Amino acid sequence: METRFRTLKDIPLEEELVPGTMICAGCGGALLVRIFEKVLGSNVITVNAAGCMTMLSVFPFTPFKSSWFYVAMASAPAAAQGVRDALDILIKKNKIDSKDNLKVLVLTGDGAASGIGLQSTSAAIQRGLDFYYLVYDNEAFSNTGFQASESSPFASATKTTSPTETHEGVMSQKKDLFEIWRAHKPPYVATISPAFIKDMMQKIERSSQFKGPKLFIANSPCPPGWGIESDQVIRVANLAVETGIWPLKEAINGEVRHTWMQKRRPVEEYLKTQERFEHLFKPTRNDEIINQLQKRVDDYWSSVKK
Amino acid sequence: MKQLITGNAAVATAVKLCNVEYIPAYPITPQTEIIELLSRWINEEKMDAKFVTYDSEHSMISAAGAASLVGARTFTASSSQGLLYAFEMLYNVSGWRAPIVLANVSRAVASPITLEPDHNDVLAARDSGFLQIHAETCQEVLDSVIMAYKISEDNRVRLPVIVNLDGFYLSYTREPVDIPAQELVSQFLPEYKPVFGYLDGQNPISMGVTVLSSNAYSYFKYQLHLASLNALNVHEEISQQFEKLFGRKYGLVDEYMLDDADYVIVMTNSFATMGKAAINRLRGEGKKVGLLRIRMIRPFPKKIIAEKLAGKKAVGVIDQNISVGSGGILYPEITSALYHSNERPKSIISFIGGLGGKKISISEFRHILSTLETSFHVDKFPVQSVMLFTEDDWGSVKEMLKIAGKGEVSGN
Amino acid sequence: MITVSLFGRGGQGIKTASHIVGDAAFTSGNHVQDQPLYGAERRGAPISAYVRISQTPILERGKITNSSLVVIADDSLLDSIVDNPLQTVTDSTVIMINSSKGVSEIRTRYNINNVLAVLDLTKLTQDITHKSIPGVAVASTTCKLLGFEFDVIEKSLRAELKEIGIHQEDISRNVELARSCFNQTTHAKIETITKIKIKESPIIDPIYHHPQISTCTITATGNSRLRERGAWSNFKPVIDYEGCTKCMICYVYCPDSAFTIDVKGFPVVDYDACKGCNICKTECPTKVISLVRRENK
Repeated sequence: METRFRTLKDIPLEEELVPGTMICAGCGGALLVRIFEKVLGSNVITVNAAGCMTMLSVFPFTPFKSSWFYVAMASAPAAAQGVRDALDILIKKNKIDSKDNLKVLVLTGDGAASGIGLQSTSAAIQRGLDFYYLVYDNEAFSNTGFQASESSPFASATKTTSPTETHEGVMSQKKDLFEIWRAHKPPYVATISPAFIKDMMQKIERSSQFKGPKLFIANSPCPPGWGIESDQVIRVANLAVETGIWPLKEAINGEVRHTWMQKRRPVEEYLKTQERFEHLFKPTRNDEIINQLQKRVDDYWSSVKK
Repeated sequence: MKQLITGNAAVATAVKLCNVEYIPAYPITPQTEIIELLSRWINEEKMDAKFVTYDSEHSMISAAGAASLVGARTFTASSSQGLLYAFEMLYNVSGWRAPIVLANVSRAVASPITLEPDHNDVLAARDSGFLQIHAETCQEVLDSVIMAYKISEDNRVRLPVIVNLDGFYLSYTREPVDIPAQELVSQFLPEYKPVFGYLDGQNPISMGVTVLSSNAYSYFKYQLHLASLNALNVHEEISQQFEKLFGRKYGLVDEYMLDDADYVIVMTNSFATMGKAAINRLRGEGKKVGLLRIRMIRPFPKKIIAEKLAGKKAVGVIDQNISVGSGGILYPEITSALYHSNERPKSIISFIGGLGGKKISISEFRHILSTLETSFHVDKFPVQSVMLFTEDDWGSVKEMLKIAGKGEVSGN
Repeated sequence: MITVSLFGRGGQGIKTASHIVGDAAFTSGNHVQDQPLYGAERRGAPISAYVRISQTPILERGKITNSSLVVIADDSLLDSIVDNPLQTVTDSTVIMINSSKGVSEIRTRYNINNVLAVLDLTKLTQDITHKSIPGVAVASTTCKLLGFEFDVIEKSLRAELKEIGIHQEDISRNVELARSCFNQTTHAKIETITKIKIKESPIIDPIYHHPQISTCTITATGNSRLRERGAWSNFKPVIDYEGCTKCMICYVYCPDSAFTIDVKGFPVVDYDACKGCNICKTECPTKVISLVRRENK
């Protein structure tokens, strides 16, 4: 399919979100939402699961030019189905003009997407709901101050997994939402990154040709949670991709294709940028854990078809 | 046209007559027959609506509220644990001011798990902002669903409604029900118009937004209360319109042999039918006893309850529910409604009966009356709720305890 | 009872400042309550913290609505409609403001007739600690106004900074900062709350409103623009257009829609919208964006 995003300069100049939100300075998730909404355009309803992005609209202010609907943490995809179905009913009955139809976007954090909201997400995919689903994956419950979620990476420090002499942070592996979703055989699944905006815009565009679930999981650096300066967000996101920790890929009708396949840098370069991995280097270097992290990434990539 | 149908079929029939457009569903006994019927009618193209099975009641109620806000008339149903599973969303949907109708087929709440009715499920939702209409007969079930849409979509109210019917005692019980003509129902209930206008690209709106201001929170929350209270008058008004078209009249409360009664038993839902039979029997024995059934539980009709019970010698409230550690749930509400009445009864006594669908026998009704009489004549008032449980009831439990390996249990 | 309200922004150390003040008051033998108040934690978002100090048990809780002493760690809050700290001020409230502006300018601009101290604590903090978190300077100044001894302040601040994991060398610099603030401030006469005239408001009986009004929705669109976020940072990005190649990287990566592209294709920063994350500066491939301290800070 011909893309309208051949270079970064093809980005739509219309802003769907105006400034003035309460979201943290330098929030990776906020950037993702801004770009996502730009590509989708103005006729959108954003159905928001409880999380950081809840803070986008706080009475009496909203940054949105289009509609927004805050639902509970567990059931945003279900509410999205209610919205979609009602729109379809009303369009069929000519109560809504089809030119005023809305695209439905569910916005959710990783805590909801991988845990309390996974059931309703799975059901929405299984029913074939025609919607976009964007997970801003900041790898913890950031809105409540950065506690471990099911998406927190191995060996990362969070407020509930403080590294000590006997603990190396999160002791379990990050849940693989991409594969969980792909197992449902939706038409479109992709990973995206705020450091790869052109890739992201092309993926949203590509997904839009499909009716049904269009699912995105986005690496979403969180300055206060990850312990990085806000200006480093894009750098860190870039390293996540270039070290192979955050593979950029898509699956169209289940067929996986990687959209970034270059020479990888050592994982260590990514880890060193963030305070949440500081305990792997200070006071003494923990080669065992660092090697484990590297091996996991290597194993992943060795299984990727060239 | 009268037909022999179950309470569940009465709900489904009313939903069809109301031209409901969207039905999010999730099965649970004893409600399931409602959604089975509706889905069948939709598949047979007897009904123009969309039916979607969700992954849980929590999701189901989320979707119901959402669809209603967008502009589709929406119905859903649940029961017991299902209603409790959806609990968070009940509060949300009322806060969204989404006028959905939910049929709750009452079933006692686990644990222990059981199937037959009491009202701990529906009364747990009493603070959620949903209006609650509790029905006694299959006819009342059908009529209440139709009235519920009219009340909930009225801009003086704009709150969701639960219509409650007892599992088994109504849900699976067939009795003759007069099914109104479609034209009359359509005349009574005009097309649904969402309060913010149909949600589309022309009408952007932010819904369900966070307020971080306690002042704003207080304002919005109290508005729900005012909206709910408005339903008292709106119900009366709509009830008159309903009577004009359909010939049946419903009040906020329903009374039986009340006028000249010295002693009154207060009940809700289908067990009131058994209460009426007991009144007949006791009247036959010369006892001046009557019954008051509360039909509208939210908003709670304090004024009319106080009026109806004024001047009585003593009142017994049967709560078919139990607030563990306190007693009957409705008892304190009724008592407080009477406190400032100059003619308040000398005593108001709390009884717990019908838990898990246990029938209330004539012995139990007789015990209620004698307790009321004693309280009036010799100033003896039980401090805690009185449990209605007979020797025979205990005998059967004792047998089961033995089989369950607990040996011979003494006491009682 | 003396009531102290501290106002600042997330990341400025306001919570810690309130703890230091609370500690110092407690060590000095008082009954104390201290409490930070923030919604969802956000760097740069307004936060407040409250300290109650009394010789008798404290029969109060929550947000302070009438302050003996108001401490404003960030003068940009004075321009805020919603979060304005002057809301808790009465005639006899003493006010301390961290600002680079002069006392008379602040008095005139915000119509303040109270006892007022204006100090540039941010500059002092930067000079001594090489960081711009003014919490300790705010705490020390507040303690001095309240009449606590420096020994007590030092002990409290060492304990509090250690608790939140500050390194030893940074603690030492902060002690130096605290001493400097202590020495340049004079003790003020702070009224106890019993002397403060409390503004009362009659009870109303709310009436029902149409659900279009009384449902918590926002029917306005894009109105968050009314909230200026420029005050979230001490620095702002300034573009040197000489070397700008119009690559649009800065525009693309801005999380806050703070850039627009002008007719000639150059990026333009909306400084009221910019939260100062500085992604644009870091990502600019030709390095033509520099950081300049904001004038009004």
